[in-house]
Amino acid sequence: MSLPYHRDPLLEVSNLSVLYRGAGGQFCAAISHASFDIGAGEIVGVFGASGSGKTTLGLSILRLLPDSAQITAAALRFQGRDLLTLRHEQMRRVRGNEISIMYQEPMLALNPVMRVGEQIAEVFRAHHQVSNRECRERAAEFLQRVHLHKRADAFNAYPHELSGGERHRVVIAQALVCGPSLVIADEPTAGLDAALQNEILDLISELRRDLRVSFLLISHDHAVLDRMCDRTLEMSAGLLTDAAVVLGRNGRSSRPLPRMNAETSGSEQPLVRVSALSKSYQTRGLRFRRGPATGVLRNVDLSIPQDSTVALIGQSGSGKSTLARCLAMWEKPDAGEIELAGQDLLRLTPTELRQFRPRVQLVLQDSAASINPNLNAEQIVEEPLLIQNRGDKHTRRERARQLLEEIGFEPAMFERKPLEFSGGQRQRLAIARAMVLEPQLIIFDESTSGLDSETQQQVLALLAELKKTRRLSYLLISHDLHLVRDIADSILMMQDGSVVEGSREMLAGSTFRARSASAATGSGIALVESQ
Amino acid sequence: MNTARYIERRIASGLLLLLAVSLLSFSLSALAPGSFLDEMKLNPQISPETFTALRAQYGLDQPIALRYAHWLRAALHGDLGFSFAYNAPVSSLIWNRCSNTLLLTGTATFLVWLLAVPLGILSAAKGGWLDRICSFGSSLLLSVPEIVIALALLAFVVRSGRLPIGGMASLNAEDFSLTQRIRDTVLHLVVPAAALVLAALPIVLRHTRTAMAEVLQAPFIKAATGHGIFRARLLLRHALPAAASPLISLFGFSIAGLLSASLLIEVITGWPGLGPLFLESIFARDFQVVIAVVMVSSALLVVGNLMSDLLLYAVDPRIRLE
Repeated sequence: MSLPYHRDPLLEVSNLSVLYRGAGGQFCAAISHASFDIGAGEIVGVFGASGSGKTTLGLSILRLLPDSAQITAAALRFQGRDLLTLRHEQMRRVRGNEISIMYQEPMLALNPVMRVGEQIAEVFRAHHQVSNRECRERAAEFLQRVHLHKRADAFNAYPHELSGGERHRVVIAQALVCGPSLVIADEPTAGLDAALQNEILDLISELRRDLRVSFLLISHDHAVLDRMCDRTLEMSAGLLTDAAVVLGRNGRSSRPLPRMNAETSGSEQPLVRVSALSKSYQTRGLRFRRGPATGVLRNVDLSIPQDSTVALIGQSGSGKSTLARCLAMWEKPDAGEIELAGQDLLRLTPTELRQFRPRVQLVLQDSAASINPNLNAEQIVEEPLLIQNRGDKHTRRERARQLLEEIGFEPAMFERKPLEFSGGQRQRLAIARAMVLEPQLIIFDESTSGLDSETQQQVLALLAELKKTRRLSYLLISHDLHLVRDIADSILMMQDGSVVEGSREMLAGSTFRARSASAATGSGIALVESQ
Repeated sequence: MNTARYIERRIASGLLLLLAVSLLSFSLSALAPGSFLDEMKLNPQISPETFTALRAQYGLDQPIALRYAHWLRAALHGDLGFSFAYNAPVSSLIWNRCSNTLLLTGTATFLVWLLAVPLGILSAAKGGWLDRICSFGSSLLLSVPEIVIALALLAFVVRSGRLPIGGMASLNAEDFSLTQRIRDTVLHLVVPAAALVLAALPIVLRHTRTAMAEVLQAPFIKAATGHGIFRARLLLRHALPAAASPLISLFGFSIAGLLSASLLIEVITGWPGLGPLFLESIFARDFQVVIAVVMVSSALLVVGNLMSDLLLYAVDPRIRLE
């Protein structure tokens, strides 16, 4: 999808290097001598594994790196102006107005105590001297542009009241509300299901056509970059190379994913049996009145056999995460039964529940939010053992180190704090933390969706390895249909709070396709029988 | 949760708490040895008959439960009993002293928040020498006992001789016009208020600084910086509301402590507030006054907690989920 664009570059970067001052005073290079340019209306992709310096590249253009980072460049020119020599106020006027940025994790990038409409209006207000009303009207207009107007209360909603996909749209609206010429999009579709990913990518294409916006698209997903970008650069250990040749039309690696286990024992009693599970949330109505209760889970029945990998797919908002939280007993369902190895979890006393907790672990989508930023890697993995009072100090540490090595961490990284890891590394850390208590069931709630395909495979190989030596079941919640098909023993589909079962045999002859339906009927994932 | 019902429930539990406090303070003071009248026994001019008659008049010969019931019924009608020592109804006595104390602590609390919040924000946002001065100054003030601060201030003012000390009005205040009277009161207010401000400022300052410093590290603040939001607006509109929760809790406590925080300072600087009255009535075993002061303090505690919870509810939408 290449469009004609002016070849005189909008952004010109030559010999950009970023050095981080370490604790001992020595410097370590995050980016070395990167050179590239972006033309008006062009979409340039940056591909790279987690930790390769992609995000740093995006932030360095807007000079948003922390003080410990040193940026040097032969040129960092935007529309002829040297960004490195701009004064603070001049730089502020560029940020969000001429070059804007979409941050990686919308849940963290949005202010938790400000209404989202207001957050969009704030960006416009920062760059235009217009009335409050005009700012809000502009924000409402952009909520419409990102198709959030279907929710009547979207403007006044707080981030935690929106779904993951809706939050992504808010972040896009924030980035575009001032009509910038360049948008730096850091993983704009990470964590979205296939249908939503399509919609968001369509939206970006549409806005690029309408507003002639250029994009610097940072992603670990070949498919996204292939589809969107005019050119793709590859980032690896701080070095930027032209990746147009390297990438095939289908960027997905052809290496087969490890199968979890072929021999499913059908006769045994299932590990988990859920029947007629329901959960609804009270919505907030006008003023102090209660709104109607929305049923998120409606009579869910499912079972997870011993030593198996069960996948659960469904579009965002279908209740997948709520089901995961109920299974891990993070939330109490309204009705129904959850049995783990024959024991009804809903009848446990608080003490029994405490003993039960290590047996089911939940790994969340948003690792940065679920990890204590003040602990280092070793302490994070060790903490569950400490809470459950297992082993002495020495064995706990040994166990933590062993696991950290298994997930591919170097001993030098053990002392680092979560914020010093990349998104992918943090996710692996969260997985290690869930593994350390040796649970019987681990629920992965979109846990691998933020990882690049190489890391994804490493993690899956680790999961397979762990399954060999112990009795362990996985419930994989994902929207990555390929991933699910390749590794799961059975697949469940979730739709509007109910679970539809699909057997492996049935799936063997069919392919999944993400289909984005018309806006009026809403989008959905459909299971399409291929002829 | 339903907000109206939440408030109702909180008020009901507050009233229950007040009832429990009254029962406890009433029975504890009844259990304490001696009463105000015991001093009269030593006076040879008062005959045993008069003494017995007085005991009957004040109902001291009745069992505790009955006395409590009488007291409670009267208290519900606003009558908090009768002070033997001052020979006056407790309600009017307390009301007068309460308003003096509230004038002092209200002014001090207002000044503390007015100074501490901006200083804390700047200290967290700018760092550098301002932060170092604030951190050193607050450590110093925190480590010096309140009483030393008040005495040092008194010594300083006495030497300079610019400000009146003791009481809240000059001896000839009766002759003053209204504006002169206000000026006179304000001048008298300076020393006790300054002592209170110096004692409470570092606590609020530190809390503000810590809360702001934490929020300023949050990704959404980095994102807002990336959107080109003005620095000042970033601090006040984006960071401060997100950092407000611990400060609101602290504010609730400062409301709750409005009456008790100044007790020591009032005694030292001679401010005619609730503090000196409380102390004197304890020594004089004037228990009706003691109970009344305790009740008013508890009521403020309930109100302060309720206020901070409602403010939290208004400021942080995440709390409303429950």
